[in-house]
Amino acid sequence: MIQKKVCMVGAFATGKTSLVARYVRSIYSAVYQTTVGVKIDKKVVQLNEQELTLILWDLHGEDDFQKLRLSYLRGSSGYFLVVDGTRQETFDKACILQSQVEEAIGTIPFILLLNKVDLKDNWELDNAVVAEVRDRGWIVIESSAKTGTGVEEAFMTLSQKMLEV
Amino acid sequence: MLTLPAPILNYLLKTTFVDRAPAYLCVSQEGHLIHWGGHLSEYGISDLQPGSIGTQVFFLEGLLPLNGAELFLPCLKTDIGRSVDVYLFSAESCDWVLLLDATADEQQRELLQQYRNQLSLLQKDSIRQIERSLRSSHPSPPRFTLPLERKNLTILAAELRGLMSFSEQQTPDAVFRVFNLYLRTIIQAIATEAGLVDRLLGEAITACFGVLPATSPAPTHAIQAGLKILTAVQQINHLRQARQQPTFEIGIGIASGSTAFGILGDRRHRVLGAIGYSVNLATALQQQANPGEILIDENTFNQATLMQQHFSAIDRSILQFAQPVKIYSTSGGSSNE
Repeated sequence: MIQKKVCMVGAFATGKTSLVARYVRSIYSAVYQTTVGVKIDKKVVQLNEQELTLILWDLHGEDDFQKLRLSYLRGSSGYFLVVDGTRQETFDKACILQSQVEEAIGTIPFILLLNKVDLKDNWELDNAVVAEVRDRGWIVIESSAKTGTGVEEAFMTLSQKMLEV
Repeated sequence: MLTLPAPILNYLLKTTFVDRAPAYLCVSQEGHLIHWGGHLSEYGISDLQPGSIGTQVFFLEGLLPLNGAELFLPCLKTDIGRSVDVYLFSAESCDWVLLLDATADEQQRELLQQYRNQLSLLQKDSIRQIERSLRSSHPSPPRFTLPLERKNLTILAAELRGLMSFSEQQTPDAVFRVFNLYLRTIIQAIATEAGLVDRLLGEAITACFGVLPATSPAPTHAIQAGLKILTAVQQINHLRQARQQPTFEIGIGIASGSTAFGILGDRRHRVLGAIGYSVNLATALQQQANPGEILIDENTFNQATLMQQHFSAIDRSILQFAQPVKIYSTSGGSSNE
């Protein structure tokens, strides 16, 4: 059986834990609960007639007082950069984190998730900046842990990319 | 090597190790589980077999072999729900995985982190409301650089007294639990009266009224928020007194006038900003207020006609201000202090 470690990375309160809960357990809670350290879940997926176990590391969100602990990233095969579409600063943070991750563990597949797409009325993201990272070759997917939009697609796309490496 | 007396060593062992349900795994460089022991079942690890570590301990995926590296993974939590500190190191040609319970550390960090993050989200939300409000009054305001504008605002300043001395005798999580209890009710009272929390520093909180649209004049809403805060704090104190827990008093100052107000900073870090005489006066009034008392300035009193029944003029000097300030109190006339 193939196992792959996947990390959820991003600023605090972007919805990392909710995305994992939606994908693994098909549940969603609107109550914000901070993550301390890291929560680990797993999910077995079928992909191209192969069974793949995803070991999902939901890392604590980065804030002004707590930086990303790079030791959590060791052995990752892929990662999600999670952005809260209603908070522009979380996009900027994701870009900084991407460089840090790449420096720490090298180039591995990743996807930029623009989360909370169900709140598009409050969207703050600058379209030009999003277009710029797409031009750089980043895979960008809009998602919502609340409605489930884009969640399955994101995990399947990353799984595919990890198997191609 | 440092030699310590046996009682010290025993105490250190007990507090740093024995009480934390230690468990370990020993894995060869080839990834084979050689031996294991301790309280593994408390971390949901059971039915281990010698051989490939592979799927037996799923969270180790990708971490081994260490190749000489040392890793510390604090507060790692699996579906078993127990938080554990994981130490990985190499010795005697093997990779060792040491697990120590981290529940206490996790709980303490969670309280601080939750409080900090929620506060940050609350402020972000306030800024969004102001942007909406200002957008409706300006035809096309720039999105991230709203200038400071002069507005007639009412400022409420409140301070919980005694919390600092309490914090020196208590653990951080006990302090934050209590502080949160009071703070939640204060913020709730401000929010229900269309106020915006502008600043939260130590025991002090400042809020602005007159920024968000509201049904009554800003001074009326600020006074109503102040009265609600006094009642809520009193209720919490009664409950805590019954449980023989320490209680805290609150003093409130309210002042109205023309104030420069807006959003400071750039899109990465934006904060509400209120600058002016009323802000300083409200803070000074709050410092002069006795426990359970609201002091207001003349502007606030004159504009809040429906609330005047709660106040009477008092003769108390405000030390920081050269000019005499006419002030009104909920407690009736009291002597110059």
